[in-house]
Amino acid sequence: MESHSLRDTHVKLLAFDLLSLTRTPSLSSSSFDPFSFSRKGIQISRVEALGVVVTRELKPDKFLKFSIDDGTGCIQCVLWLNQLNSPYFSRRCPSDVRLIAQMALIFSTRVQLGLVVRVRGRIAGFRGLVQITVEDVVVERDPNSEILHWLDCMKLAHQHYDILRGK
Amino acid sequence: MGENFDSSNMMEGVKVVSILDLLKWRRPISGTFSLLPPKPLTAPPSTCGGAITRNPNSSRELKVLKSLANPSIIIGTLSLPKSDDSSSPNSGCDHHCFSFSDDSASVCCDVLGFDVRMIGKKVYILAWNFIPFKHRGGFLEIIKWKSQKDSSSSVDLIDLFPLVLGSFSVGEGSHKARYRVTGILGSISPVSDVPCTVDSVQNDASGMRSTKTVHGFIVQFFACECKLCSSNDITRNLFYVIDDQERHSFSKKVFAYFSRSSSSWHPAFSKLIGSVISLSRLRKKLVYIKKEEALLMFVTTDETCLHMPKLDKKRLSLSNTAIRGKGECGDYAGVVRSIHLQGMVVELDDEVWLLLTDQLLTFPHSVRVGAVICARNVHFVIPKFSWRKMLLLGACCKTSIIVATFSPLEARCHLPSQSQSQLGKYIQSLVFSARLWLLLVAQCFRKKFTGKFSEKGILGSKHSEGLAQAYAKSILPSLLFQPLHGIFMQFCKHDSCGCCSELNFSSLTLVVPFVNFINNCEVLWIKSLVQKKGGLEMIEHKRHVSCLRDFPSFGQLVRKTIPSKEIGVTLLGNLKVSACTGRLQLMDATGSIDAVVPDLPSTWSINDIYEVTNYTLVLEGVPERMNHAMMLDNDSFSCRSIFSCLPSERETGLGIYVFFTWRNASHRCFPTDHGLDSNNSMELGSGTFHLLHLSHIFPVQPNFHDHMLLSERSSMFAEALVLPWDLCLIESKGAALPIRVSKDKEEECWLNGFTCKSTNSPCNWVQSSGTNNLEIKSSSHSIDLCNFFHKCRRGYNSSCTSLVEIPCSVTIRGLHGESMVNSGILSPNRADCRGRIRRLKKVLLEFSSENFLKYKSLCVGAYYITKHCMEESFCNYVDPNYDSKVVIKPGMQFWSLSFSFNESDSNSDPPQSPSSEHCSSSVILSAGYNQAGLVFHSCNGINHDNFVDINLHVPADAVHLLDMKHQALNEGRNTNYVMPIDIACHCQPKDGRTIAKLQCPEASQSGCPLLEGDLVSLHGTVVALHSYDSCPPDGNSCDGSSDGIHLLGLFQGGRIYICLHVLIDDRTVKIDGSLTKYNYPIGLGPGANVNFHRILAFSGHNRFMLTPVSFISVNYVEEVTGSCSNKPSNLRPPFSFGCILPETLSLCSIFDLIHSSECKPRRFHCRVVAVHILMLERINKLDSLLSKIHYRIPVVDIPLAGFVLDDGSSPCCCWANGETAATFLRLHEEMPETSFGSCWWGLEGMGRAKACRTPCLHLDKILKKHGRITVKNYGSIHDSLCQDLHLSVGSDCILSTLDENVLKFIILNACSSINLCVVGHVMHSDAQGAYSNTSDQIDPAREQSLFCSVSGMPMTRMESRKRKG
Repeated sequence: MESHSLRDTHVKLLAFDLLSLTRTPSLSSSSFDPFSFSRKGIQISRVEALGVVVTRELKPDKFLKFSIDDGTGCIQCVLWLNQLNSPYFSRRCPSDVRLIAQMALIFSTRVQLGLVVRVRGRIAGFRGLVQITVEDVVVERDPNSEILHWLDCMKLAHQHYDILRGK
Repeated sequence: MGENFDSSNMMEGVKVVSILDLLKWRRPISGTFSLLPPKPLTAPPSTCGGAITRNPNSSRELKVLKSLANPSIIIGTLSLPKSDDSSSPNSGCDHHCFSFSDDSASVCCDVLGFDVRMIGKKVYILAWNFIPFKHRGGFLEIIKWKSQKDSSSSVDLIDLFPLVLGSFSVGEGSHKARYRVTGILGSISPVSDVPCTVDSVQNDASGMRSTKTVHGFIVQFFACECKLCSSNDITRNLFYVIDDQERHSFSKKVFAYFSRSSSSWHPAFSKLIGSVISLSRLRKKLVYIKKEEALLMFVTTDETCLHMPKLDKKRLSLSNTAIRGKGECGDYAGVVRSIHLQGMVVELDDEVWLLLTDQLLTFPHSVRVGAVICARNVHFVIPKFSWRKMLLLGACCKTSIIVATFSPLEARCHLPSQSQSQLGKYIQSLVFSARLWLLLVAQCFRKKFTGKFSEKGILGSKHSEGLAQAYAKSILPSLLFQPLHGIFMQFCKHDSCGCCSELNFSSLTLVVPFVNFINNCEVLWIKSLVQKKGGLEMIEHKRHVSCLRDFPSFGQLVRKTIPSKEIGVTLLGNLKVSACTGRLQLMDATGSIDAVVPDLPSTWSINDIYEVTNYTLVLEGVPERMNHAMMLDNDSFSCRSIFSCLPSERETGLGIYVFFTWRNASHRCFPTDHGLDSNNSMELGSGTFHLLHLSHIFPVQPNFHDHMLLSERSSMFAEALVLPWDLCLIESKGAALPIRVSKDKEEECWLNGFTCKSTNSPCNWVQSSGTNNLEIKSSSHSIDLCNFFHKCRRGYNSSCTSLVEIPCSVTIRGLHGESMVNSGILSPNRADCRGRIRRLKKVLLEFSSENFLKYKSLCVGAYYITKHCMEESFCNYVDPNYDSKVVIKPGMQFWSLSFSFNESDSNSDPPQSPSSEHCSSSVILSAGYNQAGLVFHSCNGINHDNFVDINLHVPADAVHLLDMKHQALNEGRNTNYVMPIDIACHCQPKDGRTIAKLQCPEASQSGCPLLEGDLVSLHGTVVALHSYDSCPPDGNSCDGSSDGIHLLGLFQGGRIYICLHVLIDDRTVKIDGSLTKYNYPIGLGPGANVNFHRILAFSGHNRFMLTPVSFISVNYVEEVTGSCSNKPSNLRPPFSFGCILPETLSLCSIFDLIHSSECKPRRFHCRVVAVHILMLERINKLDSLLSKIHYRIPVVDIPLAGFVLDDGSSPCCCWANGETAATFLRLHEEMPETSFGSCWWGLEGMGRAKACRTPCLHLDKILKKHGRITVKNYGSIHDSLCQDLHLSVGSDCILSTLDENVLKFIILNACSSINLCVVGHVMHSDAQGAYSNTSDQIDPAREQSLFCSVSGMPMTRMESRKRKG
């Protein structure tokens, strides 16, 4: 198994692990982030995290910045709400962009202080810190979800992510 | 708070408010001298006695007192209440509270930071609340005050206050009034009038004595007996005593009686409890507190003075008793949360109940909701009620209530009524826990019997006792009563009066309004679910959902039975049959609860009030469907919920009913229940009775235009066989005598004029004696029926023309448990010319809606008797081959019947039932309970003595003549047709099933394909039930068979669709169909043993269908915990993934799955990342289409679906079947909505109901236009936002932008799903090829070509628990 095999996987990481990712300048032209991130030598680009929403800062039509606390640390997340104005989406079909903007709005309403949310997205850097550029947000109602996420993260790290490094 | 105040410093702009202004405004208001800086209106809550206070949160509906906009003060004088009530300035108030007056008017008042010096002085009120009384007057709460600067203030350290103003004279005073008391003020009694024999003042010398009433109160001091305290120089010594309190031992109890004019000091002394004070110029008197018991007591005189230090603010707590909740005396401080029953019950903090039932005791007007009060000398009781834990504070004559902080809320003042009702006196004679219980009962009765009884009838009046008291009298044991004493005895001999020794009686059960009961069932439900296994059992059942379900969103029904002992609540109410559901219910004015009474006599009365103490509460529900967090907030058995307004009945989502046997229900005939006829049951009397065997009950067919209520024009039908025997009950001279079989009885007793001889044979006749349900079984007495029969024959043979007559004894079960024995004769009613008894006659019984009750009390397979009437056609023998219809008239009554056969030859055997089957069931049914569960009614139509109204004891030698059961069934073979549809019924039963044929003549003529099958009766245990209000099972449950189509037309109206898996003889069969609410039996669900009558069996299938004539009766129900052990092991339900139960598969990661060499299915948890390819079609198979249209479920088929899943270890592409794809696409879930108004995808004409917001319905509409839609993703399959979805349609039409948006939105929504539990395996290489060909436009090689076929569902809590485990 090659080291880039986690590239398209939504790696489940706890905050302390995510915040300690190694950041190296990206050499790939396809990446939109100037940096790429790796964990113990394995490059990762997508991540799934879960935690309690502890901060929430909304700039309407621009972005929703929030952080989630999973007990091991706080992860900064940004959910873009500027799809209708962003040049990044200018090549996409306008109706698709409207859809994506609509979904982003729905996700933004799900992010409420105190709720446990599951977030998937891309890993990005902002002012020297790791943050998640959010793809989707799901509110977790199951009280076991947090502990299960911890177990998942530890199990996956132990059985997959750490092993890939050795291969 | 009281300081000297210089009026010259008064700020300008401060308004002086007069009392008259306040009274004119008539609104609650507060005012303060200084509005700036903003300070809290009231002082912070203080605690005393170590109690912790909390902010009131129950008073959130009350507004905070409005404040005057401008700074304001009130100037006036605080005075003591006048000792003679008539001339009191605050007339109308007998609370003995301070009054505050200015030039304009006076009002009652209370003051914080009370100082004796302020009495009678002009004071400035700097902060205050004013609360108007309801009718006139008002109440002033003085928060902060200042007195005018007193230039003539003395330099003494001790102040002296004459108790009677203007009476003080310097000097020693009269020689009698020379005593003094110095000590801590311990407690104070309420002001009362006591009869007193005193020396006549005028005729003192003559020694004349007279009796008169003295107005006053008693104060208890704890005095120190040291030299300093006993010395004469009070003024000097008191200072030293106070200054050095620790050196003194205040232990000697001293009582002082404040009589006549000094009684006006009551409010002042209440505030001084705990202070060291001194009283001088007292007299000593010997007071007889009992006839022989006298006490030396100090009595105030007109010269008595109070001595108080100037600066002492210390309060000493004398109570050092350890509080264990057994009646100890102590202090408690808390926030008033609510006040009920005219101030008799005050709730403090959280479920701490202060009982102020002492009629003499009055509490200050300032005890309002939100106030912090300190209750001194209250009794701490922790009652052992099974229904609620709480702390009870019992107030007695020593209790004082002091307000520490006034309420900042607009709560009104309570003015307790001083009416001396019988109930009030009765309450006072009880221990505290019983007092609260009785108050709760009275409150519950008021709610339960509103409209049935008047308020006076329930609570009683001064001269008559009410319903609540009568009920309590019958319940409360004598040990809960305490002797009542006079105020002197109670106060001075407090500890020996039993006031402190609270007896805890745990068996007092609560009588709650049914609405409270039903609402509390939710709490019981949750408790019962979490009781075992640390609260995790409730989710255990979920595993069965996957194996038994036909529809993804339904969980398994769980049934919990809770015995009444665990609930601690007695049910009290009337019985009725609901017009809405057709079920028997216990009801009161607040609500009703379904009841199952297996031994309900046919003659029960709807007017009687029944009390059920021993019952079983049955709760049925699906845990997932309920919002448990909401329910736990609610506890309807809390005293607060009972005292406060009635809660509204909520949709609980639970099936709730109570099960009890009739003999456990005692009939209550309340004294005020005069107007009601409690004995309206029809007497059996004498005469000829027809014997009927009920062969079938046709379900109620409600009026199509009115599904909610039974229409007046509706008719109900039942089918019965008229047995060829009639029962002649013999008219006896006088009333039939009840026989109570007892060992202690005489050897011989009289029975209707016939002698019953006692033998030594054991007898199983069980007779209930009276209403106390006491059973006396006799083993050595039996009634010699032979003798009786002999006499009977001799007496009646001549009058009967029939060839055969069977004398019998008839045991009639009374309405209230008593048994009567009468004699009768069974004679054939139809004999042909040769004397042979003709065949059974079948009749259709028609019940109008007014006879609904009779219809509902019938039971298939049971025997009944009904009185012969010339008008009805039970004896229409014109054409014996003609089956007739009998319209049941209101006067006609059915009594259920059972037979027992007496072995007259062999006295050693007990009366035997005709079959062993009967015997075994009798044993089971005797108590209404068996080991398995609750017996609803006797199995297979076999009745038991305990369950029927009448038992016929027939001599054994008549059995061969009277084997009615066999006759009935044998003759039934020849019967061909029964209305309303053509049914041939009653073939010989085989393995518990009876076979019948269904014929549809019209259908056969039209040549269309027919339903072919037999009408059968089944008996089995339900292992799973799925019910659908409007969304019944999908095609799988109907098996895609066309069998069901032609009956669909009959399934209309307000019906519920059910699918049952029933275990019969180790085989599981499926029964589905629809039921109306009238015919849906209580208890139908998993764990129920059920008889299905006349259901359609499809030939060649293991499947049955309910028809409009099918009738379901539940025999007994078991508790269903939802755990695996309850399920039969051989149950293999339909499951789309090769009959694999997901929980049996090991959990693995996708990474491991795609790297394993095996193709075994595995289970994993993952989320949808993107869609690969989708093909959506409208179902094209006619049969499936019709069934789905009928069941109103969307007809979307997904023949091809490829998704990208990711579980954190690796993404993979999965192929899913239609059902799973629908789950992945979240077609049955609500579409998300933004908070920015209506969604753009909202389609015109779509409702706002949940069903209308599911993607399914939108898809359905689109598919109707286009038939088929293919979605392909040409973009990224790892990022949902980067998908490039291309849509193509099967029709020539162009997909509209709106439809395209809807479809894309559905897919995007699917990509933000929660975790799914998926079962899948790596596909074989050939299958991979086939799928690749199908999706040829997409290059499978561009991603990891690892395919799984999956079956998935949202991950549940059960799953999560398993994973944690």
